[in-house]
Amino acid sequence: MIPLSDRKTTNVLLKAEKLTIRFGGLVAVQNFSLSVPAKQIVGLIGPNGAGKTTVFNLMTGVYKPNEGSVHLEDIELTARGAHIIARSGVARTFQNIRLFAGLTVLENVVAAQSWQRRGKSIASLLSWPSVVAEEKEFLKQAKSVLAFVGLSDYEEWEATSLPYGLQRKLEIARALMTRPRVLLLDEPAAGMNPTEKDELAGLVRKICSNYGLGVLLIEHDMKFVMDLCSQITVLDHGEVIAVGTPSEVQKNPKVIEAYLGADSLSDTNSLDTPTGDKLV
Amino acid sequence: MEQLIEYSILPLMLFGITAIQALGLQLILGGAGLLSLGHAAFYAIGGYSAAAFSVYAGPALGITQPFLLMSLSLIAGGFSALIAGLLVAVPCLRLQGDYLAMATLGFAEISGTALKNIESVGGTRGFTGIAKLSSLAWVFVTLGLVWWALSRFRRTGLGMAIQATRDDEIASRSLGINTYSAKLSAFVVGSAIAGIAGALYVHALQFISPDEADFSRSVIIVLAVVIGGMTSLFGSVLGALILVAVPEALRFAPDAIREQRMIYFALIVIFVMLFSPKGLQSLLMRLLPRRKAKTATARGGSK
Amino acid sequence: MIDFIQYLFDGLAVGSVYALIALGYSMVFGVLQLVNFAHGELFMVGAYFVMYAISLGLPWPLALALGMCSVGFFAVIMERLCYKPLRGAGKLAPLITAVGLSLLLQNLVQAILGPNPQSYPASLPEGSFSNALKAIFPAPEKIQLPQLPDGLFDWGEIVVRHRDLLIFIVAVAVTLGLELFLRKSRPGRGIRALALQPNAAKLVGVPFDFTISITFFIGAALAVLAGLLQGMADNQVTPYMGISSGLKAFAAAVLGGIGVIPGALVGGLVLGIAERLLVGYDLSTYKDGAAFFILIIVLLLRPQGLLGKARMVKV
Repeated sequence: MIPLSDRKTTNVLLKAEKLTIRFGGLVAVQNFSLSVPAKQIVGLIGPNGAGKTTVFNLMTGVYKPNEGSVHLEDIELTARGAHIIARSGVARTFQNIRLFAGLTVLENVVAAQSWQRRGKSIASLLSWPSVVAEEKEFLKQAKSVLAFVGLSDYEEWEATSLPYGLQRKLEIARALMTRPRVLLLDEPAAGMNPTEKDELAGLVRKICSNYGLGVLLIEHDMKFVMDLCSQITVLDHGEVIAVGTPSEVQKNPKVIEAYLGADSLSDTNSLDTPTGDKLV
Repeated sequence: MEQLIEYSILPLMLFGITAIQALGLQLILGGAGLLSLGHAAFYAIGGYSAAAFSVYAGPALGITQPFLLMSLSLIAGGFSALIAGLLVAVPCLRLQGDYLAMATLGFAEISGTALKNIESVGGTRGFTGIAKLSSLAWVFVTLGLVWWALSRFRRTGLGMAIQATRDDEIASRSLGINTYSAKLSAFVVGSAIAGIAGALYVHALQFISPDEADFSRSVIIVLAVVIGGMTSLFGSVLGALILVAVPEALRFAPDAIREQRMIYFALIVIFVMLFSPKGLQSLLMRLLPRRKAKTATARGGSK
Repeated sequence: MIDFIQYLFDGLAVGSVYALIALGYSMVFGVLQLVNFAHGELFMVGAYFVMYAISLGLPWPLALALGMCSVGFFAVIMERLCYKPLRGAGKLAPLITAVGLSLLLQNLVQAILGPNPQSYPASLPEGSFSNALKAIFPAPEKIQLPQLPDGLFDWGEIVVRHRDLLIFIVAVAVTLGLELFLRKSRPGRGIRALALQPNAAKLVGVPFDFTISITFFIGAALAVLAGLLQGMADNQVTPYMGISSGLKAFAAAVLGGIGVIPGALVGGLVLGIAERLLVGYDLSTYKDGAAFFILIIVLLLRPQGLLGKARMVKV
C-alpha cells in the first residue's frame, strides 16, 4: 500500500543537519541529516545499535550535539533544553514506554498540558472562574484525544494496568496533547501482533492527516515501515547510508549488506529477541 | 475529667502541628519524589523566625494584639522557611536523588550549628520567653486550610507537573514540563509549610531549641510519613499521628519497650518499604469496603 | 606555614579512616547507584566487634579477620534481604530503606550494648550470651591490647606520630590493593564492568548478584578495618560513631569522586586535613560542619568530584 502522502506538500517542518555526537572516544552519530515534511511519515531504520534512538535524543534535546543543528521551521532548537524543544512543537514517544505510573490514563494525558495552563496555581486553588473554564477546556481536549486514539473506555484506569498495545497508544495520545508540529515515534509497533500493527498504522496515518503534522518513525518491522513511510533514511554505525523511497531503499545494496543476511527487506523482519529485549 | 481534657490539649496541638509538618513533607517526598533529609531544619527556621518576630519585631512595630501578632508571626515563619528552602533547592535540585538527600542533610547540620551560635535567640540553650499565641483553633484551622489547599493543588497544572516529574522526569520533559521548576516549587512550598508548623509549635510550647533542626528529627518525620503512606495526604497525617501518639501511649509501658521503640520504628519502615510501599494507609484502605480501584472491576470486563 | 604543614600531617590519620570508609560508599555507588546510608553503621558495628573480640583475648589479627568476615557477610545478607527486592522500584525506595537500616543498627547497638562510649578492654553487658562467650574464650591474665606505635618523628619543628603515618600507609596500601584487585582479578573486573557498563556486563556473563555481594562484602570489610584503627586510635567506640564518621566519609567520597577508588583516598585525606586545619586555627566549632560544607560546595561546583569524570546519562 502506498501511503496517502501528498507529494506536493514539501513544507519541511523539522530539519536536522550534520548532527554529530561523541561519547568519550566513541562517535555515536556522525554527520546525520534528515528532514521531516508536514503531513508525511518518514522512517528511520537501521540495524540494532545503529544510533537511531540517539538521533531522537539529539533532536529532542536529551543530548546536546557536538556538531550540527536542529531546526523546526525557522526556530533553532539545537542545544536547547528538552522541555523547551517540546514546547516548540516536537513531541516524542520512547522505546521503553514511559507512562506516569502514579496517574490514571486521563491524568496522564492531562498532565501533558500542565505547562500550558495560563491560570496561576493560586487562582486555580480558589476556583477562579477563568481558571475553572480553562481546566474544563483542557479536560475536554484530553478526552477528545483519548477518543481519537480509541482509549475513551479506559479513562479511569491506572495507566500501567493497560494492556501493552494500549499503553503505546496512550503514550501517543499524551504526546499529541502537546499540540506538536512533529511527532517522533520510537518503535511504536514493538511487541505488537499483526492486527495491532495494522491498527497502529491506521492511527498514525490518521494523526498525520488530521493534525497535519510530520511524523518521524523508528521501527524494526520492515513491512510496517515500508507500507507506512513515504521516505526512509537508513542508519548504520551512526551514519546515514541511504535515503529514499521504500522501494529505492529496499534495493540498495549497502542497506542489504548492513542488515547482514536479512533475506529480503520486504518480509516481515523483526530484529527483536524473543523476549522483546533489545540487544545493546 | 476536666484535668484529662486540659492534659490532652497540648498533645493534640502537637499532633496537629506535626500533621502540618508532615503534609509539607508529603508534597516534597510523595508529590515530587524528593528525599529531603532537612525538613526539620525548615521547621526550626520557621519556628525561630516566628518567635523572633513575636518577641522582637512585633513589639518594636507596636503590634501587640494576639491575633494579628500570631498571623504575622506565622507569615514570618512560613516566609523565612520558604527563602531557606529556595536557597537550598536552587543549587541542589540539579543533583541526582541520592545527592539531594545528602545535600539536604548537610544543610540541616549547618543550620543547626548556625542556630546554636546566634545568641539573640538563645544560642545552645534555646529560645525562651515566647508568648503563647497558638491555640487548638489556630492549629486545626491551619491544618484544615493546608490540607484543603494541597488536595486542590494536586489537580492544578503545577500539581500535575510535579507528579509527572516524580513518575518520569524524562517523559515529563519530553512533554514540555519544566521539571526543575516543578521540583523547586514542591520543595519550596513544602518547606514553607514546615516553617508554618514550626511557627505554631514555638507559640504553643513557648520554647524552641536548636536541636529541633537536627537531622535525626528530619529522619524521623520522613520515616513517619513513609510508614503512614507518603503517597497520600491522609497517609502523611496518619504518620504524624503515629509519631505523636506512640510515645504518649508508651508512657505507661515498661522502660524496656520504651527504649526499644526506635528499633521497632525502624523495623516497621523497612517492612513497609519491602512489602507495602504505599504505607499503612493502604493497608487500612483495604479493610474498608470502599469502591474498588477501577482497574480491578474494569479489567474484569474486557480483553 | 610550619603550623600548616604540621596540621597536614596531623590530619592524615583521621583522613585515612574516612578514606577507608569512603571506599565502601564509592564501590557500592559505582555498581548500584545507591548511597548505602547504612554503611556508616557497618563501620560502627565493626569497631565494636573487633573491640570485644580483642577484649576477650583474641589476638588482633584474628579479631580483625573475624570481624571483616562477619560484618562482611552481614552486609551481604542485608543487601539480599533489603536492597535486592527493591531493585527496579525506583531510586527512592532503597534510599529510605537504607535510612531505616541505619536507624535500626544504631538503636540495636545502643539497646544491647549501652549508649555510653566503651574503651579497651571492653566488657560485654551481663547476660547469658556474654557468659557463653567468656566460657569459650577465657580471658587471659594479660589481654593483648593492640598497641599503635608510640614514637614520633622529629623533623625540626614538625612532629609526626608514628601511628598517624602507619594508619596513612595502611590506607594507601589498601587503596592500591583494591585498585589492583579491581583491575587484575576476575571478580574485580566484574565489579568494574558492572559499574561502567551494566548492560554489556550482564551480556558477557558477569554474575550480577554475586558481584554485588562481593562489592558489599569488600566495602564492609574495609569499614571494619577502619573501625579497628579508629577504635585503637581514640580508644573509644560509641553507637553514634557510625553517623558522624559515616556521613563525613560520604562527603569525602563525593569530594574525591564517587565511584572512583583513588578518589576515596584523596577525598578522605582532604577532609581529614581540612578538619585538622579548622581545629588548629581555632575554628573547631565548625569542624563537624566542614564535611557538609565541602559536600555542598563540591556538589554545586564539580559534582563528579576531584577525580571523577562527568557522566552522561543514557536514555
